Amino acid sequence: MKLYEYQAKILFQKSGIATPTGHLITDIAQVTALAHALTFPVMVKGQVLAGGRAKHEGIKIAHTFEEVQSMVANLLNTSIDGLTISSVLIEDKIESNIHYYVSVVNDRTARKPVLVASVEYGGEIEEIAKQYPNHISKQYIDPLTGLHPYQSRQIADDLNFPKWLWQKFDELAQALYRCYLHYDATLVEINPVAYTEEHGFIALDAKIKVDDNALYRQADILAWQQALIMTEAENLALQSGVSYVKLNGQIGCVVNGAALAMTIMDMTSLYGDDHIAPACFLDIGGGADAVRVVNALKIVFSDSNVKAVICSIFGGMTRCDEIATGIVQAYELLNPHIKTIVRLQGTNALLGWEIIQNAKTPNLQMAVSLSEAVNLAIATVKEG
Amino acid sequence: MSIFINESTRLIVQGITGKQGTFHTQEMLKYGTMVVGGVTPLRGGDWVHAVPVFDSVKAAMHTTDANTSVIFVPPRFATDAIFEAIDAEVPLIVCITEGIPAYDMMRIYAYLRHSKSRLIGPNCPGIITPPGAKVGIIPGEIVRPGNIGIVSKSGALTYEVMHILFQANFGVSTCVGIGGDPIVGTSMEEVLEMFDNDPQTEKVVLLGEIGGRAEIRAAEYIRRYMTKPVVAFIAGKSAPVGVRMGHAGAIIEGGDSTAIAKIQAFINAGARVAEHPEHIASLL
Repeated sequence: MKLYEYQAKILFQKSGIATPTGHLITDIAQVTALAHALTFPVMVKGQVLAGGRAKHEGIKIAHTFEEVQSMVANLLNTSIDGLTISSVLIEDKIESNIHYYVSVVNDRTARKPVLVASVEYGGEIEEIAKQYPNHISKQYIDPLTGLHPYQSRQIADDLNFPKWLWQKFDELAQALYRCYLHYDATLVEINPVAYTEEHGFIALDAKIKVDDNALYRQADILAWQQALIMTEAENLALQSGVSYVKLNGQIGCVVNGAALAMTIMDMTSLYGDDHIAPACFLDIGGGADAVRVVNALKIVFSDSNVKAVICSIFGGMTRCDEIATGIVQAYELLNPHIKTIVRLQGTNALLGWEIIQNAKTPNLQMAVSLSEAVNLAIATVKEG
Repeated sequence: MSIFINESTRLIVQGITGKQGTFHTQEMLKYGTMVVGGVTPLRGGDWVHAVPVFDSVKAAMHTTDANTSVIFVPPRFATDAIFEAIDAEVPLIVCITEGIPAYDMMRIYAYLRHSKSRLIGPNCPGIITPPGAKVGIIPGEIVRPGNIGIVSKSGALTYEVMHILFQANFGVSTCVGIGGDPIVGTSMEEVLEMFDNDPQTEKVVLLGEIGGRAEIRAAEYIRRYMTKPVVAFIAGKSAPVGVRMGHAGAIIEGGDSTAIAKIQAFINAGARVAEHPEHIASLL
């Protein structure tokens, strides 16, 4: 789960990392209250979970209160990369000659967290790593022993930080690692962090990704997730325990198992021409019951681009009769004018076939193999 | 021969009294696996399908002389269950549980290196060596003994491929699900190395997906060391960038975590790459 900048900054403050004084605005009317509270210039930052905000005019500098008002009005409810800006952070602009990049991130290959710093800042760290490999330094952290101060000093030395800053940098790195640990993050990033005499190190930007698997022990962050603005389909998916990603094609794929779901998506692209593509990734998970199947189909049918559906189940823990019951119920309940190609294999597959055959629903068609199911769905889309 | 498990596997089930644990204990017994004990704290003295239940892994190991453990406990207790199995010096630990936090897995992985245990998973379907040894949830009726080794990150896709191979009259030496999480106990290249050294295995099927560099490293291993032919399939060519596709680990986050980059790596390594699962049988 990605956090908004203002949320990440709250976690930074709790971890002992300084951030600029700021005000969060969710409604243009709230700006009036700030008329005498701001010291100019200020940063006006649209809160959105998209990269490259500055490039997309999501971050601006205001020199007068009138500028703040018009910028906030413009930013609220515009969107970047299809994501709506629903709040704006107004912050003191911090002047400094010292800016760095610093992060703690999970390294899948090393299977360890890694502390990364750079004297280049502002851009994506992957780009920095490509363009200026010598301007970047990292230290792997043993999760059993934690971050040692000598590791921070090594980075400071590698990047030629002034020696009076080494101790301060270790304090920042330790606070960042604490933040990473305490909130079960997979990434905590400050890009850039500035240094001033008044504040010490201060985080001008903030990016945190929290491990979805750890949300059960992060009650505060879970509450933020529930407040996230979601489409009706995404909401239903979350509630019914299916994993759903909307795409832009015409063939809805309802599958058990993540890799199998991707495989069937890939096959619709492989067998179809350039105009045919999957409409979604939808994994109903193991052991799904009829209710979950009804909800899954409800989600898929609610997408007006969908012209055909493939429902392919390889029953292990999942029982095919339960799946078939759910499919028939969904058609009785929703009466969609969309054809679903049903493929059932494994546990109770024959029972499932019987349920589908007996229902005599005209828009249900059975398939035996993966390629047959995919080709039937493509033919359905082409018939229009 | 086979890898990891065989007819002398003596298995304990951690979480044997839970719904999944009970059901799959019965399935494993039916298949012929020697399930010698189960563990659920505070339930020691109970019996499940005529298998004795112990309060701790240590007690179960002491009484049953087990050499393998399979973990079915819910995610918030699974980290503790894995550490308990490592400290009890279980040689092979297979964790089926999905949803263990990544940081917990990093601690477990670091701890494993100083231990006598090997971990398969988490978030995996387990291991099957036909005709009579299965540890985990892989269905036994779609596989017969043979000379194909299978290593995979996923569950249902693996069953689909096993079924396709079964219908094409291929048999399997061992099928290993390594798990779909970003951090797992045993890597693809470790399993490849074991298949390469296993006399029964003649060819290997590798099933991968988007996310991480596990397949890139496996391809590198094949290019440098592997003597047996490998057929690979990678799921997720049509997956968008930066979005998690079900599995915690299935997310494109950089150039070589895409399906195309992985497919290219396998082609460069001399492996055959299948376009879709049904294509695998003809490439073998």
